[in-house]
Formats: sequence, structure tokens, C-alpha cells
Amino acid sequence: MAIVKMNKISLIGLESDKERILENLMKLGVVEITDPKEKISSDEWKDLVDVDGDGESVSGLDAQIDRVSAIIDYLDKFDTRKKPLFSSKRDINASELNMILQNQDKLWSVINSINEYEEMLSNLKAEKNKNSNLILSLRPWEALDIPLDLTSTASSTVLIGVVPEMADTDKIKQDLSDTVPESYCEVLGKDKEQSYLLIIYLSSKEEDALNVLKQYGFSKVTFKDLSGTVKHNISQASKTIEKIDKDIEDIEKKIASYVRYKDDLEILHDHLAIERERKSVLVNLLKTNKVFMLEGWLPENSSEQVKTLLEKSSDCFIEIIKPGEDEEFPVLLANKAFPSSVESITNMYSVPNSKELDPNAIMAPFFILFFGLMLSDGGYGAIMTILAGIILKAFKLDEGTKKFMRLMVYCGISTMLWGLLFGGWFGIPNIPALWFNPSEDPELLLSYSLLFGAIHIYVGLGVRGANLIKDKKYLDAVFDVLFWYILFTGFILFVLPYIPKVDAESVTGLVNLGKYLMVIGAALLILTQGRDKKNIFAKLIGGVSSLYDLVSFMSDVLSYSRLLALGLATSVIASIVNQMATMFGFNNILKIIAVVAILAFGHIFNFAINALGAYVHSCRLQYIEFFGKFYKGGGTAFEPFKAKTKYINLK
Amino acid sequence: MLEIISGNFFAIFGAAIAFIFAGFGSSKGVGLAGEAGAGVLTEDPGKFGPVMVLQALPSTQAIYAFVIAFLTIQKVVAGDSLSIAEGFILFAGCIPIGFVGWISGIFQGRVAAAGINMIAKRPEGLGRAIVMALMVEMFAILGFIVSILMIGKVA
Repeated sequence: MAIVKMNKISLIGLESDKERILENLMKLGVVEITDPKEKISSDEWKDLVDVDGDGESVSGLDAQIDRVSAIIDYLDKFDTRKKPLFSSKRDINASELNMILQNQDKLWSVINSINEYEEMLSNLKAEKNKNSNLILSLRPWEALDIPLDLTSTASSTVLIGVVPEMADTDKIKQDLSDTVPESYCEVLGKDKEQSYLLIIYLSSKEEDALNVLKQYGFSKVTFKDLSGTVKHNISQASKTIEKIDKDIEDIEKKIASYVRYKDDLEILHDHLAIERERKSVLVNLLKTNKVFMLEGWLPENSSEQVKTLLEKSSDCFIEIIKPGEDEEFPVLLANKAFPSSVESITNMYSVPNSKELDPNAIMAPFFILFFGLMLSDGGYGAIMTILAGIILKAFKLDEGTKKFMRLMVYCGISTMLWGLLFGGWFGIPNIPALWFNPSEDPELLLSYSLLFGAIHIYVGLGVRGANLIKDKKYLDAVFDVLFWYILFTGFILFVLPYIPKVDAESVTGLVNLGKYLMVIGAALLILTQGRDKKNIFAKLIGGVSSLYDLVSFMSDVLSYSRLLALGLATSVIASIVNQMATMFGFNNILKIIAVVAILAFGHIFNFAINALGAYVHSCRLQYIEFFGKFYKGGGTAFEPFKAKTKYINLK
Repeated sequence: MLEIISGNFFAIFGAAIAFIFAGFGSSKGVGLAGEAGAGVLTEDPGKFGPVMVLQALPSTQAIYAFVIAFLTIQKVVAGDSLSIAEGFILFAGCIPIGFVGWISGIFQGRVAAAGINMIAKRPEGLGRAIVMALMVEMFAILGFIVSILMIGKVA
């Protein structure tokens, strides 16, 4: 039984015991507490009870969690320790946790000082920016050697400013000296956009001088609050930047020294997250003045244990009952290692609902075989198996990654198997095949691909029948499964001569049998498929239109031709890589390096793109062609009330 | 001038057609999906994995066409010319994957881009996004198989 049977639990306890009971439930981690929304809106309950809840502490804890996790992320940048490729949660026991929590104040002061340093850093960076901008704006004026705050003498005016790049500076000089002989003009610099000018003139001739300059689009530039020469100001600013850089470095060193608290901060984070979980579950509790009540689901086989444990530790009333015949319950899957490896693929489509068979056990072998057939190169399969095996052995992985790696091992083994059958190993030519070589005879593999598809679809229909029998709808199983089998089998036999590599003459008997089966099947379907319609005509029309499913059966089977296409693509590209590499020859060391590089790159690329292809296409065959036949899904996953941590495992 | 119109010429011409058009389709498709992907990644760099998977999907058209082009070129043996009829069969055999790959690559890229935008909002929709993109891929696969079967007629 792959879907775990659930029981319903109702618990009534004293308000004063609430904390302890919830803590016990959390430790057990096998009870999902459900939302009492329906109950509270019914008249019977509305006046009796209120919904519990502690929104204030939840939001308070949320704020704390955000702060701690922001600091952890920030410290991560300074953490120079080597990170493992696959991170896993650390095991922490209760006494270690308590020790760290006793030092909570210390951790919070660490957080505060890191926050202060962060602010100082951002101030310093702003200051640095300001100075670098100043340097940028002063650069063009570097040639100016009179102090910036000197704008006039007793009788003359000193002016700096810019004209657009296209203005002819020689002409400005000429014009100015013609109109106002008592003037001086110097071009200090020029860049892509403008020319930088210094102009000195007799103050009494200001109007004339400005008139000339205006014609050339001159605009005045002033540097407020600056004194001394440009060079002096630039060197001042650079000195400030140097100092700021040093300060930043100092502060970063100080922050880096806090990295040693990161592990403790992670524990604090998870401790707060557990607290939050315990507070936020309160909204699912009902309460009166003195007592509280909760309802939920728990696996059948842990019912007794939960009941005795809770009743022993506190005075409470517990009732555990089986769910009603039609009641949906949350779905927990309990599978052996092999089927559980494809659970994530099924869940990506939909979680099974509580009333149907768990499809994983029956889907796993198909997924893995089809993957292998589409990757089809035994060498790639071996590499996949070895890599995934090493990762499984060497790293401590979380449950999801572990299942995925196990799937990769199975898929790798299946790929090796197909490699043996087809003689495909890294695209090396002339390795004998146990069965046949698909690139020499693609039509044969096409026929077999379609055969595999038909088998897959038949199994899918079979599961539909099993589901119907499980629901005690025996007649439906006959009408909706057996009759289709008759029609489909008839159809397959009928079209046999058109399948490549089938000898048309030797199958004439089967074709005749197919004709009869098709007629019988179609007649039976026309009579039964419209059975839920009201009058006799609607029934017949419903029956006839259901025959359209024969077309979708045909297109479903043809869809398995991708098994051939992807398998062939891998082997052909692998052999192309080999040919391109060996084109160079082996007569000197450089050529050998080129050969090795092309082989490595080519095969890695081919493996990556085709493994991805095999994976997604194998998924698709399950989702559309297989699940389409029987799978309803739409269940909700079982989410027990337990400590949800990010960094640690509490022991 | 007439000498070059040989069986070899048609075969090579076909290989070029197969890859050029399917390559167009894949380039455009992967490009479209990549633009959508870059947009999503600016918001959430953590989605690189699923975005990459979706972006890679429209590249298969070019790969199928590459295989077809290669198989066709292999039939051309230097010095020993194919007959005009054989060359023509090879030429015709290259057309399905070339043209179907071209159009399906572009549209698969559009579906993949839409899928990428979908997983930006609902990461759990990855399975559905991939399946929708693979619906388009089916036609490229059929084109590939038709091409393979046609080329197989020339020994």
C-alpha cells in the first residue's frame, strides 16, 4: 500500500496544558492540524467557541527571523570556509541548543554590531562616491593653476567655463582680443563634448566680453566651497579615498571576525522558526475560556502511539476515528526505494488523491526504461551511475536529493543495459550489439518504439480498471477498460501490415482477427459509452462519438516514436564527435591534446543535452500518454505539524 | 555548368537546407526563451536551473537537423557520384526536418518563454511548462523520423 491510510483525530484539552500538548505533538511530528474554518461557521459551533491565535507573537517572531536570516546571508559573503557541494542540516542535540540559547543576548549584540558596521560601510561608500565624482569633475581643469576661489582681482575678473566641442576656440580667442583687447583667453583642455576655457578680462569691459562669449555658447562653471588649486583639490580627494578604503577594509575585517558566530546564528534562526511554527498553528485551534480543541489527521499506524503518549503526559480527551467512505484525506506516500525515486516526478504533475492507487510503483520501471532507451549510450550510462553513486555515498544529502540521485543510478543502469543491446558505447563503431544497431536499422526500432508505447498505454488502461475495481465499479471496469482493450487490440492487428519491418503476408490471419475484434469492440462501445445520457438517441450519439478516442490512441502510440528519435540522436552525435576528433591524427603532442579536448567537450555536451532530453521526454510520456489514461491526482500532500528547520536537525 | 548538377550536388544542397532552416528555428526559439529567462533571473537568480531547462528545449530542432545533415553528407562519397535520382531522394529527405524544425523551433521558443514567465510566478508549474513546450517538439520529432526514413531509402 503506497498511500498511507489516515485517521481523523480530535483532541480537547485544558488551556493550561496547551503549550505542553503542542510541544509533544511537534516532537511526534505525525499529526496534521486542520483549519477549523468549516466548523466555526456552522451554527452549532459558532456561539460555543472562538478561534485561537497569537498574531502578535507570530509577526514579532517573523521580524526577528528576517533580521537573523539577513545577517546570516550577509555573513555568508565573508565566510571563507569551504562549502560542501551538497549542504545538509547539522545534527544538534538539546544540550547544545540550550547552551547556545543561553548566550542569546550575546548573539543579538553581535547582530546589532553587524548592523551598525553595515551602516558605517554604506556611509563610507557614499562618501567615497562623492569624492570620486569630485575628482572626475575636476580632472578637465587640471591645467588651471590659479586657485579656484580666486574669481576677481582689484580690476579684473577671472572666469572659467565651457563651450561646446564644435566651437572653434581659436576664433573665440581672436574675437575676444579684437573686441576686448584687455583680456586673456586660454584653452585648458578639450574632450569629446566640450572645450574648457580660462578667461580673464578687465572688469569694466565685462559686458562686451560676455557678449562675445555668449555667441559661442559659453557657460560659466563654478566650484563652490573649494579653495586652492585644482591639483591640490584632486590630491586631497584621492587622499580621502585612500583613507576611506582603509576604513572599509578595517570594518570588513571586523565583520569577518564575526563569521565564527554564523553557525550559532543559524541555530538561533531555526530556534525562532520552531517557535514561530508553534505560535502560528494556534489559528487552527478552537478555544473557550478554559479548554481548547484541535482536529487533524494522522497515519493509521501511529494512532495508538500518539494517543497513549498524549494521554499519559496530560489530561485530555482524544478521539481517533476512521474517515468516512467518501472523505478525502491528506496524502502521505510510503514507497520502497525503487518506486520512491520517481515520486518527485509524479508530484510535479500532481499529488495523487487519497482514493486512487499510487502510480509511482507502476510508473517507475517505465520511466527508467524509456530514459535509458532515449539516452541509449552505455558509456554515458556508466558515467551517470558512477557519479550519482559517488554523490550518494560521499555526501550527506537531504531526502529529496537522495531520491533524485537514486533515480539517476537506476536510469544510468538502464542506459547501460540499452547500450549493451544496441552496441552503443561513446559512439565507438563496430562494437557488437546484443540485439541490433538502431542506426543501421532505424525502422526496426521505430516499430519496437511503437510496441513499447502500446504496452505502456495498455498498462495505463489496466490501472484505470484497477482503480474502478477498487471503487467496486465492476461494470464500469468492463465497459471502460475491457471494451477498449478489444477495440485497440483489433485496431493494432488491423494495421500490422503497415508497420515497418512486418511481413504483410505472414500476418493476414491476424488482420482478419483484428477486423472482427474491431467490429465487436466498436459495437460494444457504441452500446455502452453513452450510458449516462438520458434518452436512447443521446446514448447512441454518445457511444459513437466516443470512438473518436481511437484517434487519440493512435496519436498516443505514434508519440512513442520519440524513443527512436532521441536514441538515434545520441548515438549519431557521439560518433560524429569521435570522427571530428580523430580527423586531426595523433602524430604530435599538440594534435593529441586537440583530440582529447574535442572528445571531452563533445561527449560532455552530447551527454548533457541528451540526458536532459531523455529526462523531460520520459516525463512527458508519463504525464500525457500514461497518466492521461487513469490518473486523477489533485490530492493534497500530508503536512504534519513539526519543527521545520533550515540549518539544523534537532535530536 | 551542367556537370555540377549531379546526385552529390542535390544531396549536399539538401543537407544545407535541413540545417540552415532548422538552425534558424532553434536560434530564434532559444533566443526568445533566453530573453524571457534573463528577465526572470534579474528578479530571482535562484531560478537558473528551471529557466535553463526551458531555454534549452527549442535547441533540439537544430540537433535533429544536424544529425540528418550529417547522415546525408555521409552518403556522398568523393569521386563516386550518386545518381540524380538518389540525390533527389536525399534532397527531399532533408526538407521535412528543415522546415518543420524551423517553424516548430520558433513556436516552441515562444511557449518556452511563456513557461519561463509562468514559473517566475509559480515555480511548481515547471512540469506543466515543460510538457506544453514538448507538445510543439512532437512535430519536430515526427519531421526528424520522416527524414530518417526517407534518407534510409538510399543505400
